[in-house]
Amino acid sequence: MAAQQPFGDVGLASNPEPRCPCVLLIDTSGSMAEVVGEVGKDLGYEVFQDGQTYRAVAGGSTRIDRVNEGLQAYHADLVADPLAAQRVEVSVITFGTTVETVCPFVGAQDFEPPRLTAAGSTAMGAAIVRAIDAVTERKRLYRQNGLHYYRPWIFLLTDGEPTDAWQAAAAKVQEGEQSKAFAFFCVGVEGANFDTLRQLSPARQPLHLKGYSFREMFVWLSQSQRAVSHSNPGQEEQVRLAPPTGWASL
Amino acid sequence: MTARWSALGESVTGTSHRSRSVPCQDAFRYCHTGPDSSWLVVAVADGAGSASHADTGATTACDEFIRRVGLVPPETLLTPDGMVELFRDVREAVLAEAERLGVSGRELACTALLAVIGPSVAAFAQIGDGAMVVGDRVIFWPEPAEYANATDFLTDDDWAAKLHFAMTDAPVTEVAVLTDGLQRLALDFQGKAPHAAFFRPLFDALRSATDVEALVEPFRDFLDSPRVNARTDDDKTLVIAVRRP
Repeated sequence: MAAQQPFGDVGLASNPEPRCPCVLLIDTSGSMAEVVGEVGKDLGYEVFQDGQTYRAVAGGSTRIDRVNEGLQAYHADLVADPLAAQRVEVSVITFGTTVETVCPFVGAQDFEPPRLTAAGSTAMGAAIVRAIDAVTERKRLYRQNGLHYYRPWIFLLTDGEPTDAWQAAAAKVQEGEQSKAFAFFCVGVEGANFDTLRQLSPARQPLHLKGYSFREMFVWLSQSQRAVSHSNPGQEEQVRLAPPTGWASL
Repeated sequence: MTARWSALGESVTGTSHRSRSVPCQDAFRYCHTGPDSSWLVVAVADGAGSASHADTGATTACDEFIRRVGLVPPETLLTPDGMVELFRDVREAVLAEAERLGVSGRELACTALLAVIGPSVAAFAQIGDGAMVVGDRVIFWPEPAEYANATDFLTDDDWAAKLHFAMTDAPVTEVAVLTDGLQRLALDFQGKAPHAAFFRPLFDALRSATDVEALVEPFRDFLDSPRVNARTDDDKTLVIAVRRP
């Protein structure tokens, strides 16, 4: 006898997916324009920028170019995971002389990695405050719309030190980490002031990027968020993140 | 003749666990008890993903609930005190099992949901997430404690403070108990209510079945169907029961 599926007519509720917000807080100060590979033609003069003197060259691959490549890899890896693509939300905030919200929060599937350029000083303190405000507002929106969500991540990447006041921002980071309002990750590229970074992020040791492995770092970030987004909201603390040893040291 | 119950229950390993060869960490048991076996008892537990012996914790908890409920008149579970005492005993059994295995209690962490339903009165108790559904109501809405804390577990030190208790003296004729793997498919989060289109066909099929055994396999197939697995990769448990007229 051909059995009819007795439960074929069970309807599934279509609840919106829980959200996993992440702010990428990226240093776009002048030093990020330093050529780090495939050096191009020497233009025969020097430029003074962001407290340092650089040889002017044409062509070549800069730190910020590598970051842009990393952002592409981050996006590609996230959208390869259908669940993460629906749950992870990304915002990109940059800090040079000013703080720019280059990309307000958007679902990973709709995220278009920006092409960042580097110039100016390092308004890191103001940028951190902007990022904290952004996740606070995002959580308010989630609650207002009855959405479940994961603890937001703020992921800071710098190769320098703040040129603005940062003590108030550090206090906010500490407060936010303590109340688990967000998780603050801090990665320093060669040249970053790790003493300051340690004061900014006492709860979580700043990581020291190995060379310029931005791509590996961003793929780790994506993989970690994929793992978190597959957990149940409220239980992400139990998620074991892969050690960042492939691209960073403490 | 006293009304009895038809019941169906199944735990299915989530696709994420299956791909990593992790055993199903959900467990469930149900039984009849009381005079003329007119009471229905359903126990469901979801072992913590971070616990090394989560499956043992969940199974031990469910086994102990059913065993201990059978030792007392069911009316004793209709008060918060009676329920707390039962949960304490079950918790101690889980901790004893942890000790026997030489691990800390946390390694057997699990949620616990218990429904004790008599002919004209019922009691419900729950620690952690998952949901119990009666008619158009979710007994304890599974609020996600803002990510700050993991869900609550029977093995937690402050378990008693996290134990929810509710009683009703409206007759219960349909009940469903599920783990969090199914929450987003079976509940409407906007309306904070059971998703009627999910439960209605399940209850109807069970009520009209002349042979409940014949539903066991289709029930399992449904819980493991591609359309369900596309929406959840966690372990999922569902127990449904209807009172026979």
